[in-house]
Amino acid sequence: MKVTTILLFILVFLFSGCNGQSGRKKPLTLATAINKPTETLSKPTYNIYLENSGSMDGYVEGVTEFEQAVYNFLVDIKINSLTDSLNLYYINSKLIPNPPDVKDFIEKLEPNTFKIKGGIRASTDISEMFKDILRNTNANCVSIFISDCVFSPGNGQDAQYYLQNQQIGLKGNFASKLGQINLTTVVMQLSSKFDGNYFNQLNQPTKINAQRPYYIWLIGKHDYIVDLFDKVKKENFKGSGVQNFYCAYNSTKSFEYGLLTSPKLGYYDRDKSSPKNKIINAEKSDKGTRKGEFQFSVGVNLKSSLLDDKYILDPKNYAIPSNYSIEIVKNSIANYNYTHILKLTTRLLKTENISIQLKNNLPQWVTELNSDNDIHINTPEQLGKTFGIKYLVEGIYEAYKAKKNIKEKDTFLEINISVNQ
Amino acid sequence: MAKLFIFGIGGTGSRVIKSLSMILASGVSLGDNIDEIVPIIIDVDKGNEDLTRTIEILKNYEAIHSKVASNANYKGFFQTKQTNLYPISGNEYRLTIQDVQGKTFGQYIDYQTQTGAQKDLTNLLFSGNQDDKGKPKPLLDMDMAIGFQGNPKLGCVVLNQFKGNNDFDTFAANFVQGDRIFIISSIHGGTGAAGFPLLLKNLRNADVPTPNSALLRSAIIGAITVLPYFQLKDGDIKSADFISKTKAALQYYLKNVNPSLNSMYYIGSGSNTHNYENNKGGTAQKNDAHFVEFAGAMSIVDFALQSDIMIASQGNRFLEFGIDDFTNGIDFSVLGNASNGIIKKPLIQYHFFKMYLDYQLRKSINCQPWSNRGKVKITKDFINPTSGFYQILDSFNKRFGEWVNEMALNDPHFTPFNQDAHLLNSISNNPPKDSFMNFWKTNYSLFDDYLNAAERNIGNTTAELKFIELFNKATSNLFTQRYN
Amino acid sequence: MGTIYCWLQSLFGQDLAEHLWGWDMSTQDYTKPNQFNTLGLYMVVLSFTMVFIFYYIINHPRFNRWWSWLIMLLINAGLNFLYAWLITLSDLSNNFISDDLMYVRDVSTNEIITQKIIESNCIYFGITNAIIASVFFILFSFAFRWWSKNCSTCPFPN
Repeated sequence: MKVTTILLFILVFLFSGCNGQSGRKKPLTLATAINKPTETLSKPTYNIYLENSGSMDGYVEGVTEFEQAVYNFLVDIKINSLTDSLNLYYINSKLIPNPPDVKDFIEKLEPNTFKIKGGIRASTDISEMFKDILRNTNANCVSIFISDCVFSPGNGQDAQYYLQNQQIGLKGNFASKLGQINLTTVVMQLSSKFDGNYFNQLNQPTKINAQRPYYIWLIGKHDYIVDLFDKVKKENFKGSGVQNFYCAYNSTKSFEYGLLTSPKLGYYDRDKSSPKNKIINAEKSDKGTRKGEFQFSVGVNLKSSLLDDKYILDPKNYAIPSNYSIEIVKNSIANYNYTHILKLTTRLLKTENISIQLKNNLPQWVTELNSDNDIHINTPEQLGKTFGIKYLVEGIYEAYKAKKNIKEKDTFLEINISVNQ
Repeated sequence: MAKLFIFGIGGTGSRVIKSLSMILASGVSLGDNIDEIVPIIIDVDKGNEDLTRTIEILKNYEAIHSKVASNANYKGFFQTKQTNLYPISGNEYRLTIQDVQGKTFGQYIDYQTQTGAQKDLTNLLFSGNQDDKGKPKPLLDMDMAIGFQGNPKLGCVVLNQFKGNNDFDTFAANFVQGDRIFIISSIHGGTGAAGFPLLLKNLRNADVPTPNSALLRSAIIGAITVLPYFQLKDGDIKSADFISKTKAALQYYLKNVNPSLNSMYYIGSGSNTHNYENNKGGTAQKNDAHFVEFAGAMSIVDFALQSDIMIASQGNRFLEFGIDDFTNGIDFSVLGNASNGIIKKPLIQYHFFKMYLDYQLRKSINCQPWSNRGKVKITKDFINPTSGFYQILDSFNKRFGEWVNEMALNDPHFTPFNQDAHLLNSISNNPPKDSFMNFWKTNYSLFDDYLNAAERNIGNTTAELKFIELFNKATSNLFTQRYN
Repeated sequence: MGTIYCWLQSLFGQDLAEHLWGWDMSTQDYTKPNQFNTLGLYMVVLSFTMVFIFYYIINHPRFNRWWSWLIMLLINAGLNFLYAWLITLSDLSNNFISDDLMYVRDVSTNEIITQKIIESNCIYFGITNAIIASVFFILFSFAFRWWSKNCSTCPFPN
């Protein structure tokens, strides 16, 4: 019976040897993502480049949403003290500096001023413009480029061939820059009244007076861009507001995520040693209308992803195992440090490692708003489109892809959850 | 180690031997010289109730001893071996006086066949009457089956038959070098007064064909003469005659007995208002136990404890029993240090032992670790009526209880124990010492505590021995820690 | 120690269990101190103490029956119940429990749908602790009773 004594000592010893957390702080399962820059960023220089080619005249004729939106944007930048040094440029074939007075700048947004400022206004070499901008962009600088982004092959050029070359050029320029500095590129599509001549791919003008899309590009280090959108919300853009959005970046950062206990169907525990990504004791639901299903939730903090909800909430942008379906909702629960919640549901529950990826896809709107032939611009389906925008965005997309580390997948976010029954 | 042969002559002899059994049962040691006693009772009155009680007690003692004291190193209750020389059933522990059953004294001496001068001498010596239910009866017509009824002159004749007596020879054959002899007799009775000097003479003058006669002649012999210590109510035996008879006997002893003894003990009690029933003998002669008998038994212990050298010489060692003032009754506080040193602790231990068996045993059995722990368990079966050992112990204890009660009621009162008090307060004039540690364990729960502690020190053994040893240890510790 | 408690998790609820493990909502990990360890330690120590008191301090010939032992077991269970119940109740009342364990909130509106941890969870946790303490009491009893003078055969002889 002394055996019982010894046995007991062993038992007590084993269990009191804390297996797990006794206040010892565990490292977060992922690298720390930041919501805001943790270190106080030094303020970058903001360089604003407004294209003043002939095709832009229609946006500045009279008072337009274009002017309102751009003015408001620049004022917001100033109000939020995002920079101490705001430089204003016109750009076409060359950079034309302007006095830094924003009000004056905006008031002078008229076709006449465009003409006076000079440069070769007849055509738009978008690739070259980006090249100039990129050259002027360094690590302490945010470049904002406002343009209609309409390619001008000109008469006599094969449009397809031209667009493809432009794409290649863009890709090359961006790739080269990315090799030096890790920059983030954002494009926002807005629209405004356009009253003026539209020059199509053959450089033939057509007078139109309609809503036309235009684009605001941002290029700069990721933290600056995040800081900018933190203070200047996309929803607050005047005029049409931001209708479409795309961002490209090669981030070394990962986004914080973790398993949640609800919403769920069925039952599971979070593994004590890795509660953020390991499920144990999983069971399907055995009652109610959704009997036989198993669902778990993962909260994810995409605040600094720059992605917009339209992209995030679209299940098509996710790669998940075939036995699961995904639903994404915005999180309003104040206590969670997550912006969105991913709900994964299955009827086929088994022990496996699940990988959920938010793919880095070219957004749908790029294809939808793309026009390969703008000769007949004045038709309803063409008016809302931009000639060659797909090639432009794709070129940049590919530049980023090329510059990714090989081991990084082409995703914004990859979540690995271990499901164990 | 040697034997001590104890001759108890007459009713007094039986009662002193009974007291001795009680004392030895409580674990009193007879020292390094003696490890075995051999009681031999000499009494013609076979049906004597005292005798019957004593024999029963001796047999029970022997049975208990055999179960518990098989190991030579055993110390505790029933430690001393007590042997019976006479195996014939019905005759245990008794040296049979032959040829007296169913005879009158006249028949014994063949009075009818006597003639002439012999007859005249007989008439002269044995004239006189004995009262028999108020009517005088000639001595010659006395029925000897119930002893000599206070007439030593008859006993002298009848008892002079040791030489050639089979039982005496058996005794002599068992006597070895180093053994001792002790003789108990009353000076005023019938059998004792006559038998003692005769026995002594037969020992000191032993010769062939008695076995070991040389050893007997030089043996160490002690004796106790019990002087009058009780009165009888009016009846056939006249206790008023006791004093005169005593004086006559002592006179005789001076010359014919004392020089042959190595140690001579005297004891008696002058004032005695407790009158016994006047019964000549037989089953009615059942005298209550008396302190004098207890003290007499103590003399035997004293004799056994003396070294051979101390008592080698003959005829010059005479002892009496001393006690403090006993007008208010005798308890341990008035017994002298010497007596207490021998008897106090053992007797108190046995008293506690008996109290536990009477009042607590049935409640604690199977419930306490002393009973249900270890390989050998003391179960309910051990104490149920069909089990042998416990029943013998129980009847022995009943006799012990009687013995204590009788001595308490007798005069002087021997009241070492207060029977009405709780366990710890039951020692007269001797309250227990305070104990801080055990203030919440009282009386029998304290006793159980000691028993449980004792159980740890008892190894693998028989149930009977374990049982006795538990109480040996527990009562010893109880006494030492709370009363010493 | 938490592992033992979690065997009986279904009694007092997974959410309270998570809280006691040390779930911290702000880090979404178990970074608060693991209260199971403290609770478990007190439970083990208290149970052992009660066993020790019964067998070696009280150690009384009149308090060594099977029901005496049962009384001690019940007292031990009671004390452990009180301790566990009050500790968790205090956490609950003082809002020490992470919000994501306390409530199920609507994802879209942040409103509370149900409260997951309520007072009865604390009571059941008290009961759980009492049960586990009783098990340890029994184990300790059988392991350590051998040297007791008066109670080594309690609750029953070997």
